[in-house]
Amino acid sequence: MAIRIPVPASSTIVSRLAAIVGPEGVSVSDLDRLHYSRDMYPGTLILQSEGVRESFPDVVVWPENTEQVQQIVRFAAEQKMAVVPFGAGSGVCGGTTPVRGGIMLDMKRMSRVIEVNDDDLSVTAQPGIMGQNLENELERRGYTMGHFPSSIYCSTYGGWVATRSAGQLSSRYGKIEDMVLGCEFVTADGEIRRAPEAPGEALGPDWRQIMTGSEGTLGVLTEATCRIWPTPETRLFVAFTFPDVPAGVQAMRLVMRHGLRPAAMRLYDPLDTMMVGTKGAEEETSGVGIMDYVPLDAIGTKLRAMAPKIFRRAQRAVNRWADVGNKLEGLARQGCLMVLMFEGSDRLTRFEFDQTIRFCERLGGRNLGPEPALKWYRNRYHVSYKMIKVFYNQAFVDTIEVACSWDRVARLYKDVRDAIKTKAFIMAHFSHAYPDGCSIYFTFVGSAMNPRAAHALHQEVWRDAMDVTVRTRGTISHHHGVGLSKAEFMPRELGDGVKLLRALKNAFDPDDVMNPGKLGL
Amino acid sequence: MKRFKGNIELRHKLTDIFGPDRVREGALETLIYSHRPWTRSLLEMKAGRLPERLSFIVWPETVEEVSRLLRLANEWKVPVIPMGTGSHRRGAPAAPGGIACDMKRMKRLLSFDEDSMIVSAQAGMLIWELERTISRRGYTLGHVPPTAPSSTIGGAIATRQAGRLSARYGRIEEMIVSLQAVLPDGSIVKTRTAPRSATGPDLDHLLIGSEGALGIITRAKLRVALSPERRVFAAHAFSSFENGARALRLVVRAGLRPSGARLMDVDETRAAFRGTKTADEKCVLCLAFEGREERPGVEEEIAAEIGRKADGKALGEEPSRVTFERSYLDGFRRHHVLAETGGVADVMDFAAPWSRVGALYGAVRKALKDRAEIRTVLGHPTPNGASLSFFVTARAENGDATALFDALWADAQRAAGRGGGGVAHHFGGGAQYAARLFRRERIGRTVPAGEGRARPERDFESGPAERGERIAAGREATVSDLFTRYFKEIDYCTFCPKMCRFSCPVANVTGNETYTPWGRQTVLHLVREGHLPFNREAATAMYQCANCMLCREYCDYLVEVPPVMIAARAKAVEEKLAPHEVIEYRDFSRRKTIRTATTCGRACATWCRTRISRRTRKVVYFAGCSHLYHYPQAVQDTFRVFEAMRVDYVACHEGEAMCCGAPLRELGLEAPYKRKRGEARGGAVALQGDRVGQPAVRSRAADDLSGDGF
Ligand SMILES: Cc1cc2nc3c(=O)[nH]c(=O)nc-3n(C[C@H](O)[C@H](O)[C@H](O)COP(=O)(O)OP(=O)(O)OC[C@H]3O[C@@H](n4cnc5c(N)ncnc54)[C@H](O)[C@@H]3O)c2cc1C
Ligand SMILES: Cc1cc2nc3c(=O)[nH]c(=O)nc-3n(C[C@H](O)[C@H](O)[C@H](O)COP(=O)(O)OP(=O)(O)OC[C@H]3O[C@@H](n4cnc5c(N)ncnc54)[C@H](O)[C@@H]3O)c2cc1C
Ligand code: SF4
Ligand code: SF4
Repeated sequence: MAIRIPVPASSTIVSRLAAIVGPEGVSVSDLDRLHYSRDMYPGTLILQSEGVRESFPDVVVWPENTEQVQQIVRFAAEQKMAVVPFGAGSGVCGGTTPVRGGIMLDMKRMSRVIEVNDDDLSVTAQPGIMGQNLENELERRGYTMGHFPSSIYCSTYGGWVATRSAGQLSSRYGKIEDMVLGCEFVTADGEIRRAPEAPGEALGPDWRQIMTGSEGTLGVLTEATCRIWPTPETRLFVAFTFPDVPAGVQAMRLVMRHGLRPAAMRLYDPLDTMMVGTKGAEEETSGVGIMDYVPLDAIGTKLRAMAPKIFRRAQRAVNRWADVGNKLEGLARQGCLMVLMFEGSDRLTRFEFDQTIRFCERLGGRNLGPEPALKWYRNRYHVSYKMIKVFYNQAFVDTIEVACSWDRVARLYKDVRDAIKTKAFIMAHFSHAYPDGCSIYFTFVGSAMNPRAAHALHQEVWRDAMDVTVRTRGTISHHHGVGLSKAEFMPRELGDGVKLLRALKNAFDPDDVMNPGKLGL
Repeated sequence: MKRFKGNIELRHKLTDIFGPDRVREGALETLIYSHRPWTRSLLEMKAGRLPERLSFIVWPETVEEVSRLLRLANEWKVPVIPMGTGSHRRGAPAAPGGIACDMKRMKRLLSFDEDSMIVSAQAGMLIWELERTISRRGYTLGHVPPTAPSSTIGGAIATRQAGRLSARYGRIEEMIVSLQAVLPDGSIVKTRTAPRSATGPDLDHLLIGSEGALGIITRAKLRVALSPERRVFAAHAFSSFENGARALRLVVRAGLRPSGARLMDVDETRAAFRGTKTADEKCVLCLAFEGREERPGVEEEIAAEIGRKADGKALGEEPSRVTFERSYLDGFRRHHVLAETGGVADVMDFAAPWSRVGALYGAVRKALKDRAEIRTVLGHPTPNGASLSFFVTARAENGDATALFDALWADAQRAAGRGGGGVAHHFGGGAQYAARLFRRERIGRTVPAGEGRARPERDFESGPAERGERIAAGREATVSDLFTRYFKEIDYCTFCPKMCRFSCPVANVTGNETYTPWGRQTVLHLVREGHLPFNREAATAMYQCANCMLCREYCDYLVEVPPVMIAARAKAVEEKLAPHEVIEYRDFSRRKTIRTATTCGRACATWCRTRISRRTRKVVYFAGCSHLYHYPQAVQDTFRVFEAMRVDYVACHEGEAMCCGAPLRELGLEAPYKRKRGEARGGAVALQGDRVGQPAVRSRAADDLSGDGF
């Protein structure tokens, strides 16, 4: 079945757009429109080999400066065409799905670092710069932003701000919303706005916090200023095991509560611990764990290529993820691994490090030395590549990142796991902690006899997990955002707050031009 | 608006909601409720001009009552002004005839979750009350505005307060977990409760700082902290305000979080320490640290070290202790007294990023100094900026204090705008930051050996392993190889979240998803599965790869994109879908029976000379380590083609001197690595004029090099 790509935008529209950005900045080619029809939402990925794609943009546009963005947005409003801002498409909830077609606004040609200010410890850059390229630029000058999402290689600065992204070192540096000092955006009414208008201003509502996380539904981010830090002088590592999840969670809580700020503090549940391994040595599982256990994976490519369809079916038949999970649960006896990393100025870092070790030891943690933590650090981006193998082998993997206050963490963890574990293999780690609570990051792997059934199973897992989370009064997303896939849960997430969100949308974008269908709007 | 005053029907309606005891309309009360401790309104009162009265005052006790009030107000189109204690320093919203909604009877502590350190209280509770209650259990809100005894939680939030301890505990908005509020239409909303969330904009921020204009806050959940066990104080004197500001900036930059931080200029120093030795110093910086166990002491020692290095003179703890233990209300009382005697006094505060603090200080002082006495304090520092408070006192020559007041404010605000408070700090400067190869001005970062990115294992049985073979494979790729031999490569990229895309120069230059490794391979995947035709468009995409192999460096599975692209190009040529130059070149090379790789490059150069336009272009050619290593011949060929096309090029990788040696270190060969690195440094000097910034190689090398202060 060939993918049917609908007719593109008319030539009048293309020439109007070309008049704004030049002919090089517009494309209606089928391939381009195909590539902009999905982000990294696993729901779409499950159906990838079936050739299923639902929505396509009418045209892809690459603006080069704020004024061009403004003109495009004005043009779109006039035509009542949807505008979907696009970073790098690494979003995992369908945030860039062009549900109503329209203009796909790829920001990546706006990728300049505008200023690095040493006095203010701030960086101002355009939104289209790739995360790692921005961090490289900062690192070269002796700074760090401290924002290291696992997707740093494949996501943009603007995408981070638009989705309230969290990096792996958030316990020390905060989430992106804690870093944003200022931003410039073009709202749907075609105005260029800056927040704050004057730096440091504290009058009225904080528009930065409104734009941050708005996922392109209120406007297009065209520039952002974030705080940065001098490159840390010291980095220290240590790891512990705790007998069970509640004990580990307790330790995390006490560390945060006492004002200690490890750069990274990650607690793995027993299954995840088993996957990661508590040894430091490289020849151990190196964090691959279960995802490398794939039936029939060893079959050569040649064989696969000869009869791909039959092979896939065979592989689906032997994929039994929920069973594997349940069997392994009984075997997971290593307890819970916690890895810790501290960084910053020499003396203070060492001080916090020593104090944290004392805390953990007092709470029954077994000190494993630095090796397992170093191993985590070396492998910190590898997890992002794991999904490839899982999908390649006809299963699916997805992650659910919820958060709640400490009093409910243990319950939320247990309830979500209980709800899912009969359907898929599910494990979790706790990786973003705050004095008042933390996030739980579930990873689940599943499969079914055919892609359609897998898709249905995937949906079912999400629905159950979201249901439990809302009931336990956690938030349904700690850092991936809402996009399209979680839109249906927003009324329950926000309650009457939906009204405020609606009011915002109506104020900026009454015609629903900006990224329609997202955030439940 | 007058029509609401004494309106019997409105009074009845209000009484229906609140009962007779909680509705008042007495002349004195409504007048008092219209007044605020705003200098301007003091001056006006002094001159005999009274503010216009409100019509009613009500005291809700539940959120439902607030909701009913707002519904009623909507019906009647009567303004409602939420009130805490009315300590708002910048005046009340002008709403004569409106209803004051006094929140102070909604003052209960609702819950206190000590595990999560979250306290939930009604908006009318006094900050002070809250602090007293939780401190008995060993906690602190850490929010101490000068008016703490007389400001409510709701008022603090509605005005986005910053307390005296903000450098340590944050501003009030940083303490908010969630809010409950009644919107102007009477509906009750509650924002989500979570330590952090990514489900859309942070709606709390619509209410924070809204000064009652967007709704009435009825309840807040706030984060608290553990009570400090000890406090330490320290004062330092500096020769100038600038030096003091620099020292304070360095203190927060080092990650220290003083609970108190106050830098006084000469005038403030003299006034604040009148009668003591300290008054003779120039600018005094007072710092306080608090916390548990040894921490405050450690922080103070680090700060002292910074102070010393910034030419500060240590004054011991006394001046600082005195400063922080004194009530700020003293100053305010002085202002009142002054107003009584026909003067004008006020505090003007402006926030600025550090880079503008000096300019702001100068500009505001310059604008006012002829007419007023000004003392200045720098406070509320964060690593990114601070606030300047100007204590301004003046005497009206002609007796019109209000006019003087207005003029001073207007001038100060204008000056602040000029001085940096109002200028956005976003100047362009791309050229200034043109990349310089391998120039790193960092020192002293210690990175444990081998801490960088772990080396992935190649996951392919299909790809050629040896260097020589690799080139051959690229050249000899055939169409049939495309889908069988590269089956896995194609699928892996398709299912990949584009992990290598940031390194791909083609992806970076075009910004196009189709031209990422992921994009091109996805095309092939869909073609293979029969979902897409392999047409001219698809073929064209296959040419959008420079074969540089940078992507491989960031692929955990060491997928090699170029061989796949080369095979796909072969298919494109075979099906006559390739760009016409390519087809022509093929025919040309067939005529010449070119077989080997070496002759191929030479032939290509010959051909280019005849075919391609001779415009001169300046190009910096950076082959990339991987390319140089895996396809050295291709690099040589590129040089030939450049020459044939008369391209004016600079190559960063001529010879092997430019290899930074990072791979050697990864192999654990420390000595050869150091040697290589030395050579590279020499090479970098030679290349300084060129703009080369290849991120991938640099970051690869970065972890290794930084340890030695390279
Ligand atoms: C393997 C993998 C690992 C990940 N790890 C993390 C992680 O550790 N932490 C984390 O927080 N997230 C993670 N994510 C999720 C994802 O990377 C983030 O959501 C990221 O911020 C999205 O950035 P992007 O540039 O790819 O945005 P896109 O996916 O292109 O867009 C995301 C949303 O933002 C909007 N948007 C993008 N740019 C703009 C703009 N300039 N103006 C207005 N709206 C805009 C889009 O319309 C869309 O709604 C991961 C994803 C993957 C695939
Ligand atoms: C001597 C002095 C020094 C000061 N120093 C500082 C300082 O250092 N830092 C600082 O930040 N402030 C300072 N202030 C300002 C003052 O403390 C704040 O304005 C205070 O937060 C107001 O609190 P309140 O309860 O008195 O509110 P009010 O003055 O009653 O109200 C303030 C505003 O908030 C609105 N409001 C009140 N309650 C609610 C509610 N529940 N829902 C919605 N809106 C509401 C009101 O309508 C009004 O617009 C100072 C004031 C004085 C008099
Ligand atoms: S080369 Fe590797 S990292 Fe790049 S897209 Fe393919 S699988 Fe992903
Ligand atoms: S070889 Fe170079 S140009 Fe080709 S896909 Fe990889 S990084 Fe991009």
